[in-house]
Amino acid sequence: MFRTIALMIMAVFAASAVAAPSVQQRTFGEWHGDAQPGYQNAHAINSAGSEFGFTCTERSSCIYYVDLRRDCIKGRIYPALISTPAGGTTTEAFCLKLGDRSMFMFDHPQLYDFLGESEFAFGLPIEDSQFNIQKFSLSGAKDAVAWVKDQAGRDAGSAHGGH
Amino acid sequence: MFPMIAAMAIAAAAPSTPAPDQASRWLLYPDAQRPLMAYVANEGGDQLQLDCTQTCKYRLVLAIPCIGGTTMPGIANGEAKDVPVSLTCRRDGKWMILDIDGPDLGELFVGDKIAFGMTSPDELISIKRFSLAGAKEAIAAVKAQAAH
Repeated sequence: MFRTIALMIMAVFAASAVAAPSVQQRTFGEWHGDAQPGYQNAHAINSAGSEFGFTCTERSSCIYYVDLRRDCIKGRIYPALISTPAGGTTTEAFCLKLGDRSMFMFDHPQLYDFLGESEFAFGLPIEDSQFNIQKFSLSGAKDAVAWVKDQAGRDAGSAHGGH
Repeated sequence: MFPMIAAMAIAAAAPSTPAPDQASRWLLYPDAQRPLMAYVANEGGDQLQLDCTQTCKYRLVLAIPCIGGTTMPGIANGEAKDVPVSLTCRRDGKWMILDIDGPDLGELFVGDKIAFGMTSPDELISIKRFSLAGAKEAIAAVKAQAAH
């Protein structure tokens, strides 16, 4: 499943590089949203320049991702820790390469509920028995993700002849 | 009960700020002749133990709070591989003992260090690192005694 969504996401990010005239942009607290036909995304960038976001394809397949500004092995699935003040869990993150960006794609059934918290941490085991831990503000995250889902639903509707 | 007492004894025996040699090498409890546990302390006073007083079990003894009976997800990260683990908290006086469940950790005891990442309410993600110096010998001695 990861691979299928990853391929869709790759196309989505590639499409986003070409600015479309009908792009919509919204700000939700610390989160920034972009929506255009075939591309819906919301994300926050922390002080280290790492990015935590949520993106959807035109078929309404949506997934969370982090860009830790570090390399990963394309196609490898990494174990990862995700945590908020309300709790956390382990998940699996799929390495996706997009040009010079390395992105970790992941999802978890509890994740949307976690977005109502204040802060989110992503921990990735790395070499030399170390962990790369990045923290992100969740201010506005739940509204931003809901907006992206809504935009993706409208986009899918129009793509299939809906209004 | 005995394992808990033994754990307390080990915890009590370990100074809060271990000497450099104690913070970097695995030790045996109660002695090298009939060891029931192998353990190592880190600079923060946390311990990683292999307890073979009953069935052999790895666990963490930490100076951070946890709620008795709760299970925390974590990742054990060795130099050769990393695996998800489950950490179950049982309070023992002021010590927080986390039983480690997951794949055989023995495969992770390669190289100089092993680290455990776990979710934590205050830090969100807490990392505990331990030396593996002397680990293989200490673990083998405890397992041999347990099989005796």
